[in-house]
Amino acid sequence: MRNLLSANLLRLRKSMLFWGCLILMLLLGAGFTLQRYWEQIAYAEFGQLSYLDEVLFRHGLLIGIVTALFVPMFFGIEYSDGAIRNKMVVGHSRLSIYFANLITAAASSLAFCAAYILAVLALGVPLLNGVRLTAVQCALLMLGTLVLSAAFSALYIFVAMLCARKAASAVVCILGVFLLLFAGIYISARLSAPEFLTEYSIADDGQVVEEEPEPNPQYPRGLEREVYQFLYDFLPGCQSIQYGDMSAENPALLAAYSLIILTVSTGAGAALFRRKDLK
Amino acid sequence: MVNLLSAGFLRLWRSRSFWVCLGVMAGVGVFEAVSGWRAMMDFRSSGVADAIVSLDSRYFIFPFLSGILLSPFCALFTGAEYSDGTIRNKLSVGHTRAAVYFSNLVLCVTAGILFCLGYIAAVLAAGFPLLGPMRTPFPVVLWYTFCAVAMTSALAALFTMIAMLCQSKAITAVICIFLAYFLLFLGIYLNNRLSEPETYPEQQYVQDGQIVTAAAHPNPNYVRGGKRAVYQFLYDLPGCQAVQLATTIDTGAPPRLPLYSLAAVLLSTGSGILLFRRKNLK
Repeated sequence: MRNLLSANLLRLRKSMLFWGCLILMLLLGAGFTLQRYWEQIAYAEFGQLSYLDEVLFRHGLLIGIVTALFVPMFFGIEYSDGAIRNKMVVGHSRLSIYFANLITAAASSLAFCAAYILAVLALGVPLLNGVRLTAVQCALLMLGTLVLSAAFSALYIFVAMLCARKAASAVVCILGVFLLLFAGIYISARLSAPEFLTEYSIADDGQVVEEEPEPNPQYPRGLEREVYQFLYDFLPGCQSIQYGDMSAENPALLAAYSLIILTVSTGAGAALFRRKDLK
Repeated sequence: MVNLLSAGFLRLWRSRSFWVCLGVMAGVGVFEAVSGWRAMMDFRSSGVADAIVSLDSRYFIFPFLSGILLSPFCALFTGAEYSDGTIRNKLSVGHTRAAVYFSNLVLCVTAGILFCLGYIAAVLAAGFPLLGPMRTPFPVVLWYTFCAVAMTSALAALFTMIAMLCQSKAITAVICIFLAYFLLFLGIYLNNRLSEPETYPEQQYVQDGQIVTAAAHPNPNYVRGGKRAVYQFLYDLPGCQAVQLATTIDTGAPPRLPLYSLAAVLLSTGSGILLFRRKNLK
């Protein structure tokens, strides 16, 4: 296992894809920070201020996409080059191969997150206003995004280790993450619909009269709302949306769900990979 | 060329990725019609007697999907020619590189058009009995469909160019999918920027039961001059056009959009063939 990990890390260090993704995250961190800074300048006359925490946790939104690009391309090559068979021929078990790849993928995604955070802090501390959240809130949000990135890695490793064709696993991972993100946007829109719709009318004396509020038929109620709320907290794409727009109210719960996803996908992946015909 | 096309179409009809993409388009079409009907029932059950969800709102969605589904399809379908060594076989039996390129282009464009038709057939078949006929005049619908199909063809030409010039199927798939999403998100961003008002008009709002008036003021976010022209040009490109088509349903899409699509087909195919003729196929 240790040999496998050190071989993976050596390959990682020499991988142009890894460095490309790392630089991409650095640039995105810098870009988002500068965008907030320019907006602050453009709207200075209206008193608009930009805060560091508005961009600090946005890697939660990006990490799923960048890892979806990295994991299938980096680990898919193990099939196309026959490296998996070589590893088994020299005596490594299938489980240790799976776990070594999972740890490498999770470490890479954490490195991508670190690159983003580094860029935001380097530019954001001098250019933007401080953080409005408490230290505990910041720590929980940071923990949540990091566990989420590990959960994404576990899902993609599941796909990359069970699908021998690199192109197919890349397509599944990339289309899958966008599907999850769109599901997040849709559920967010449904959950944020107002419960009642209020109309205003102007009386003869010029006073504004508030009409009796009417229930909004588009507002999900009862079991439907509970299902939407559960999916919004559970699905990784929905969690990404929550971290991206800073609406995550319970990051500890989201982190727990991410841990469940990580555990279940790794357990199922390892079990299926043990039975897989590697030809 | 005829032989290449007939072999290609035979492969297309047997391609699993083609039928999966077509199935997804048709499935989304049925889903959109049914979800529209469900929303209408929700409105009616809450007492809105004249609640209507029009079939139009469900019909005009397919340009958003066609490019996204076409990107993995073109990469996998055309990329298989490299991974299976078919391209070398075709060249060694005497077909020219241009003929090989054109046959793949025709296949990808056909697949793109069929994806659009798959959605249209499904949304109309499910939506007509559930939501009633469309309210937009038929010529406008026809023009919209033509523009959307032209845009899909332009994207197919773009993805074919990438797939014919990149020998790694996986890299082609990644580039094509990210390009499709990038163009879509760029379209959304440009639409937001270009639809910013030049000035914020005088506004009235309610505060403590009284109407308060705020004076008009210029919008600092309004895009002006050369920057606006560049944004407008990018907004007219295939991919971004999907957003523009969706926002101009009432007024009708500008006639320049199919021309931009045609220019994209000609440019990508011309440069693609030039580069493919010089490419070392190993």
